[in-house]
Amino acid sequence: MPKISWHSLPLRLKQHLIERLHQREITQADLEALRIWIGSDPELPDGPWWKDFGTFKLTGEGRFPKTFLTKDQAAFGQKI
Amino acid sequence: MPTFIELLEEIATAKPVISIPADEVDRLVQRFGSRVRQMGRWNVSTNGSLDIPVTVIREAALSLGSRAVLDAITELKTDSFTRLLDSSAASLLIDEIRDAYQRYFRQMMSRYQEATEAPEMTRLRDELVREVFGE
Repeated sequence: MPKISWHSLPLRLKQHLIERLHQREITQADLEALRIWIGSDPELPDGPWWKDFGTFKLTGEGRFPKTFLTKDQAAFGQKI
Repeated sequence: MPTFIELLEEIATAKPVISIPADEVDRLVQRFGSRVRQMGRWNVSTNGSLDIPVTVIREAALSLGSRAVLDAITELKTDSFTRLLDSSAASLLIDEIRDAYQRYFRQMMSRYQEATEAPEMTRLRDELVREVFGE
């Protein structure tokens, strides 16, 4: 199974996620959960996937994360 | 014993962050699990090193006490790939550093949420990007 590559996620998307913390649209606990998940060096399915962090979702395909969604936006692929 | 001036010189030249190279991070993960990467900023997107603020290590060491830290050092020096018990001194030190880093990260998030000046907000935002996604 492929390991995640954070290079593929543009800096602007990463900055935008953090800005949503300032705007209280995502919680500290959920951002911390993302940090811990990254540290676990997760293995991912080959096709499209998404992970629910509560106040936001992360989507990707194979080892490449694609974007962050709000909690209400629909995600496609395998839930991990 | 170092003199007062020598101590001041040491403090003045000390790096605020220690960086553990990727191969050592991998060895520690084999022995202690992925919680090792929670001790600091894991630079997953670049060289795989782990950056730990010295203040975090100091806080953890003070919390454990010098005897426990010395025991942990002895265990860590043992170049073994055997997974150590969670109750070992080295495991306790790693957990203490992880907890101290967690507090450091939460304080940074709170400072960012409370910031009102644009330059400070930008600085903290970029710092948080690095803490979450690595350098």
